[in-house]
Amino acid sequence: MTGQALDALNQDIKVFGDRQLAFMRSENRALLRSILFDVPRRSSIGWQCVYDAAPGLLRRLVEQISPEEIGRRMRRLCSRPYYLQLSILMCSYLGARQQRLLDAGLSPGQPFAGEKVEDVLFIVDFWRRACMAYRSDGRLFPDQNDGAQPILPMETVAQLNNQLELATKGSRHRLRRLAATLELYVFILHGEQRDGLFAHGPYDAGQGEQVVVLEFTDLQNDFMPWAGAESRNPYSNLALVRRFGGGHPHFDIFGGVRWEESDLEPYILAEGLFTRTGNDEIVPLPLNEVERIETCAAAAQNELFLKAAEWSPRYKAEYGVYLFANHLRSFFDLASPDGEWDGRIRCAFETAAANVLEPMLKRDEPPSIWSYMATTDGDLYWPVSGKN
Amino acid sequence: MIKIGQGNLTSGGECRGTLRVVENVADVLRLMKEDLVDAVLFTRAASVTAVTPLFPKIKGVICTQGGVTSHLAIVAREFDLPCVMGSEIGYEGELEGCAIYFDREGEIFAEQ
Repeated sequence: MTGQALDALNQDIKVFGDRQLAFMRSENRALLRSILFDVPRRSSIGWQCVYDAAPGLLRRLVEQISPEEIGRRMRRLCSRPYYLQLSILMCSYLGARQQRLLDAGLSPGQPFAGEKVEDVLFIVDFWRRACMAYRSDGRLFPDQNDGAQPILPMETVAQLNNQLELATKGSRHRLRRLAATLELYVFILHGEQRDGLFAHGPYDAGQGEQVVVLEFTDLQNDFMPWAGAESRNPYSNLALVRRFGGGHPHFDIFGGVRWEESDLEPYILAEGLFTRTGNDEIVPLPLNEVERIETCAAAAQNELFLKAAEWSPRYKAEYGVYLFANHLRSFFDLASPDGEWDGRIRCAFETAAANVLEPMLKRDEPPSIWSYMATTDGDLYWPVSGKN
Repeated sequence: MIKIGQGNLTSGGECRGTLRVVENVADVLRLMKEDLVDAVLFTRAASVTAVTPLFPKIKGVICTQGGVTSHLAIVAREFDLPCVMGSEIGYEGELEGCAIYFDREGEIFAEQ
């Protein structure tokens, strides 16, 4: 690798790590614990699986479809993958790498005998190329564009905007309640990970107005072993689209949004609920569908909670294998929507987990990267040394 | 009422109710069978999944961890639930079942 290429690689690693660290510190994410799931261990296991399995699998994918084309195909309503999966790819790979650096007792910049330079380069390059083709502004991060996360073509935004209904007190309340119920569902489905919940925008709607989209995806997941519930969501994806008469949203690198205003309701001018069908058609849903969707989601979330409450301590960590495999498979779904790769991805992740699961479960403390993330004053991810 | 703590109000407004402490899954399973119309949950975990079945029924939340972007705060905001995150509690007495109040500044009060 040339010096210039190495510098560019390390610059990408640093800028991503800086943003991830800022995000995690803002919510004390490294200290996030759950009485239901072993969050640090399930993440560390998932990261190790991504580290071992993702480069080889994704190399096979890019033989068929370039990262740029992946990014372009993601530019549609309720896409899976979406922005989160690109960030998860980076933080999983780099997080596992950083754990290895810590385990080796190294300091920043020291050569790492186990470094897989070509894999690091491949993953970062994949992320960069897909992300820049995906975001409408060609940037990598929301904060590079005043906190914005524009990913839809403006023709799609116009199509959605033209189908919004004027908001009433009743519709605002019902749709907000629906969003809350769906958020609970996707959080419990994904074991306390914020997958399936994606906010993007704002999209200029003229006259000082803006459209912001809140998507719920993965609502009919059949891949993760625990996902099935008697109460099945009637739609695999939903988008709550709202036109605001003001307000200042800030989007983050994990698909979330934070508004400067504490009460948004006065700003909501019009809204609508949509789904994208298997034929890629965007269909508006009538307000009278809300109750059915909400009832199913509420029932399903309770089912999933009771299931998870019965999980063994081992499975409360082991489920991370399938949680992170679910992220990766979404890229393959863009090339082969029939789930052709599911079995191979599942097998590759289970094989990778077999090397790390038992040792991790035997230790009293979570992997050291978690205390490192909570306390480090330096870069989150150390650079690739040119001396390996 | 005496002031017992201070946190960051991340959604909703002032809230008055009865404090119900959630430390483990058994607490959640027990509370699922109760009338929670006056309940303000107290939890030390900023995760939301553990209290999933209780969320639609409660009046407010006090959490000792996290902040405005925590999962618990995100969902509380969507339910328009009063929620105080990152609370520091300086009270040695029993919290379960006591009358609780928090204001828009995140100041938390309990009946002695």
